[in-house]
Amino acid sequence: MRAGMTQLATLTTTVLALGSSVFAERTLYTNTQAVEDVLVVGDRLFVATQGGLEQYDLPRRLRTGLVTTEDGLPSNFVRRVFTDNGAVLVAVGDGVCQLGAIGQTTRRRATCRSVPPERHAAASLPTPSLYRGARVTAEATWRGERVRGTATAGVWLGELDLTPMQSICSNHIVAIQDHFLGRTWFGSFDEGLCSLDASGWQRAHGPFRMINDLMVAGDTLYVASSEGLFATTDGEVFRRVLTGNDAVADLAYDGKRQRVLAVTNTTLYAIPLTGARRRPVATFRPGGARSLQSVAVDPTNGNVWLASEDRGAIRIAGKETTGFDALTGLPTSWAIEVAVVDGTAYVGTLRHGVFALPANATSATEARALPALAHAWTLAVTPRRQGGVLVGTQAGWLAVVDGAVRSPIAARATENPPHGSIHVIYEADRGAIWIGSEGGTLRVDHPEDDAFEKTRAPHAALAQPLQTASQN
Amino acid sequence: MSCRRLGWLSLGLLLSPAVRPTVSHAQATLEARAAEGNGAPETLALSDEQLTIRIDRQYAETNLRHTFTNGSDTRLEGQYRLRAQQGAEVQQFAYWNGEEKIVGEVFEKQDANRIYDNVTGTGRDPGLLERTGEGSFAFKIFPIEAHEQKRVEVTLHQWMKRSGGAVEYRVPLGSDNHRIVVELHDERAIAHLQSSTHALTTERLPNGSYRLRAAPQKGQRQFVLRWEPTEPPLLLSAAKHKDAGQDGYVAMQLVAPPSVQQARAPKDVTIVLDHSGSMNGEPLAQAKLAAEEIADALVPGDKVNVISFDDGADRLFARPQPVTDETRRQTLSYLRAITPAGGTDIALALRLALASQTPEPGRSALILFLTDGQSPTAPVFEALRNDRSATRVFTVGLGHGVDRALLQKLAEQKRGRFTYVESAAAIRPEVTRLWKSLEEPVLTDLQLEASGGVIKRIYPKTIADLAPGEELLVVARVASEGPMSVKLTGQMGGKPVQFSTVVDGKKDESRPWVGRLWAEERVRDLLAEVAFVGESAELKQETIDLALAYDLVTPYTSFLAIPETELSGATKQLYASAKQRKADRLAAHPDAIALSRNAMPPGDPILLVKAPRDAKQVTATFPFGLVKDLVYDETTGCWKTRFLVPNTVADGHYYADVVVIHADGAREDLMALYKIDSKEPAFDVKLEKRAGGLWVVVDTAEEVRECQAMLVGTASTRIVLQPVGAVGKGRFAGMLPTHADLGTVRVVVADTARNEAIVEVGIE
Repeated sequence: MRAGMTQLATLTTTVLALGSSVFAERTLYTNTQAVEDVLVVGDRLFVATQGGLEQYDLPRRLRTGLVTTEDGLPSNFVRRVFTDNGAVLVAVGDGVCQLGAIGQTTRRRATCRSVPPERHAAASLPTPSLYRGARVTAEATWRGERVRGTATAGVWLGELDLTPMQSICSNHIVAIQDHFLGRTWFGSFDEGLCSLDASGWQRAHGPFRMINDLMVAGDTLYVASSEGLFATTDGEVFRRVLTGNDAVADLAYDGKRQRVLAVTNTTLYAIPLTGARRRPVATFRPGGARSLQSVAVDPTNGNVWLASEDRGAIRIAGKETTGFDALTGLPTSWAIEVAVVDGTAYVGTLRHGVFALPANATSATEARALPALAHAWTLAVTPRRQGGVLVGTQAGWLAVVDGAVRSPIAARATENPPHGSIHVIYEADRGAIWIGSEGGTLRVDHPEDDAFEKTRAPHAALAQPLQTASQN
Repeated sequence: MSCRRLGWLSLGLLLSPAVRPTVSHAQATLEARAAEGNGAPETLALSDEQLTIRIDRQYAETNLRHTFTNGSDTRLEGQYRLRAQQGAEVQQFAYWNGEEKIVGEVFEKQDANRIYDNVTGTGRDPGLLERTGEGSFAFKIFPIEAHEQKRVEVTLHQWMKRSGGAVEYRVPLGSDNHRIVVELHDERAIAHLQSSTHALTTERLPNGSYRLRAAPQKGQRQFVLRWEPTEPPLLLSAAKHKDAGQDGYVAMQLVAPPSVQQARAPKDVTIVLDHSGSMNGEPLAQAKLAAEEIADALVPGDKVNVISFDDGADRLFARPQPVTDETRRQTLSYLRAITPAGGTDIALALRLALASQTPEPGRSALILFLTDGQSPTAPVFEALRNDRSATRVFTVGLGHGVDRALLQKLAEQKRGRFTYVESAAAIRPEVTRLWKSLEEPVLTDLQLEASGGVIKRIYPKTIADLAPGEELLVVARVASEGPMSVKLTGQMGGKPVQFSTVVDGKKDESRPWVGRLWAEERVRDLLAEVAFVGESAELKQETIDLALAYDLVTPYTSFLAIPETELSGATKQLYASAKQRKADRLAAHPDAIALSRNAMPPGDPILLVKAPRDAKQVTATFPFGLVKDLVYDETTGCWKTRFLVPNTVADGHYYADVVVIHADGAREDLMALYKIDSKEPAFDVKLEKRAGGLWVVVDTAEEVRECQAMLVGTASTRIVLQPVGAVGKGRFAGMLPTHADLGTVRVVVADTARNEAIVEVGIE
């Protein structure tokens, strides 16, 4: 039995974001099924979860608040909750945050300070006790009734599941797509697929958990996962597209040739959507790569670009394959992501930032580094409707790279991201931007009003030629 | 010498696709021809033959020593061929060059390929064991010097099932000059020990074993030994092997009673018969006769149907029809009219057969699927996924060309049994035997369970019903802190029955063959999985680990015998490093736990834990504070999670602690070792101008994934350097195709965690 009333695990607030002069509306979505700690104070229950700190009114069996990064927490992963002199404190990251005196107010800004990091020793593991099939992580009592926090099934008061049913499927979202069945779809790191519309959240039950990419082509949603490539036209039945269960890392749509492109570690697949023969065409180890990560199509000429961990960026133009890697002049061969926009291929690398290559480059020496992202550990490079790309990194950055290689470049961090590692940035209709991170998913509406978009970078942020060893 | 194929040869290259009749004459031969010529090969005389046979319970290990004589004045190269009994596998092989014994060893295929290429490049031909059929093997031998007595040694092993209460051992003989010694050990009392081919002298050893010597019999080309273990009826007995600190292995046996009073349950039987072109002749004739016998054996109350297929499919009835004189006549008439033609579409026939079933309560629907072919696996998988019925599918694979993995998996998925039939002559008896177990099984719904410990990785995965007198063999891994009770439950004559035995999962015991039997079944299962759902790193890795540990030839491993003393410096190093790699792999044999990568920069590897599907909980705790609950993954048969290593984690070796709570509440603790490595590899580069270009030598200090070089600005000169020292680390070298006097060579080295370092060296 669930609590009589459910609430969206979301909080909408208006905060100063990304600039100084205008406002953008932000909505944060987190999942609170993974409970780390519970605290009962009078009739109130505080639940430390991996999606923020929940507050419940126990007599009403009702969640009355959720405190997250939007309220000043440095992270949504709350490890512990406790009281000290009447104040509620939570352990978050390597700090402690105080929520203020316990009162009726459900929303409070947290004030935080650093403390020495806790040791995470696990030399002798206790045998986990289970409740409803989930590992019990914390327990307390209220009026003689047992309160149990679990690792995967939320918080329970006796037999009653208190955690609101409707929430995003995971705090770690790696792929986002809309334009499919009127809903926005979210692929998670290891909790499968879910979707959102005005009626709320729904979970999709497919034969996959570890999603790497989502793509809509026509009336079909394609799901690239560590369990393989799947497709659905109704969001309920998923058919396996490629034989075998090789992990599929990334997807792209080739509009010119009406085909879906998919990459596994070693193989580029082209899956025709029209014509009599629809068998996937496989290219094994394109450019010699053994660890492909990303695929993109140059919309102007249909050339295919690949990012790989061991051969950098690879361009396939007809029968000609050209590699751009450490041996040919890039500072690294470890490319994570590639996007092609307006004649420029943007190559995100694991720990050397983003490079811009003319899409018709003949040599890696034509690449330009984007200084504002130097040394960044890149996670996402997404084409932007107005040109340029949006870049997610492991340092809390949401960067907008504006224009082509020789144009000025703006690159700014988003303010107060839900987590430092931003795995996906998705531009929705009407300019809204979704930001999927390891600690929550943020929707920013009306970002076009933001000064961030209008900022021109100072001269120092211009693209710089690469400094390779031979030039030192 | 030109043979460069490694590992499993496609039998299509050697034999016609049709099933060959059983060959019953002597099977160990050495055919040889002049090393420098193209003359027809001649069979060398087998001048001496020694057989040492060790039998423990029903497991036989046969050591064959053959001496062949080169009576010519010419140096020869030869091909040794051995045809043993069906089910026999080569455990070891060797030959002698003078007094040097060249012993075969299983290597990972990529290592074996390198060694093989290096050795053949020097004009020598390494001994590469090839599996040329069920129980048939061959390898090349070179040189066979003029008038040399060439000695060859092969060790075979096999499990012998009891039939009618008796165990029968057979081995082919190649000459009149054979000497046979048998040591037979069995805790059970033995009765009626005799040989129908040889006179035996029997000696009882102090440990209770029997030592038998068989006198040579002129003209006799096989040795047959037969005995009857005596034990109480319906006894579940167990043999165990356990190494210190490891989970144990157990092999359990039970013989079904000869008869049970019970009412025969009505059956819906659909016979699916492959009549493709490859079945032409005796195979199809025998298969049709076997099908006719089944049709004859059906009784009123049963239902019958026949589907024949090649690359299309045809059916006798739309649905199985009640057995009457008329439908029986129609069935026989339909079967007799089937003629061979076309290819093989297993999925099409399967779909048709499954769709035609009309399940009714109290009736069992059976599909008997006979084929000799191969077919794409994906559509078969699709057909199975779309079928939710309780119909059981029993597959019979005919001949060497059949896709055994596919049929085995198909039967397993549909709670049936796979039967392999090697020769056309064996089709009728094997199908009849199978039908008997289906028609009147005496033990049904068999399941294994354990208390006081854990029993896991049980093979066969689905225990089929047992026919009268049929023997069950189950192998599994076991773990317990003391004696554990293992129960086999099921139905006999419509009543529940239970047989139990006690296995001490803690006590070390040495019966390595139990582990080997299990490993063979596990590898078979892994390969079936690969064939069915496609290759994955995890499946491949476990297959290789087991194959190396137990010297099994698989698509990923090869059995090589290399004369080490004749190897050149580089090849010798290569060989030594391959042996070292194998030793390292075995030392770190990840039998219970695996990571998708065990060396990595901070990132998102996948942790796989092999635990039973019905485990209550599998939880991993990582040293950087993360706790993850794993989820069972049907595809890999493992519990699985993806975790993130933050980029703030310092380099070093770490353990993830894993707790498995089994269905019975037993707790199992495991650890996964992984290494965080974010440092660039260190290395030195040397350049040397040579006639063919620029010789690039790279010396590395750590294990390397790839080492490449290129003349800066000239992409066409790009090369991948090859290891010349220990594989994976040490020295790499390659010839850069340039004669430039000036310029810069760029070298990029990536370590196993894929960290890269770039060094540029000017050409002087």
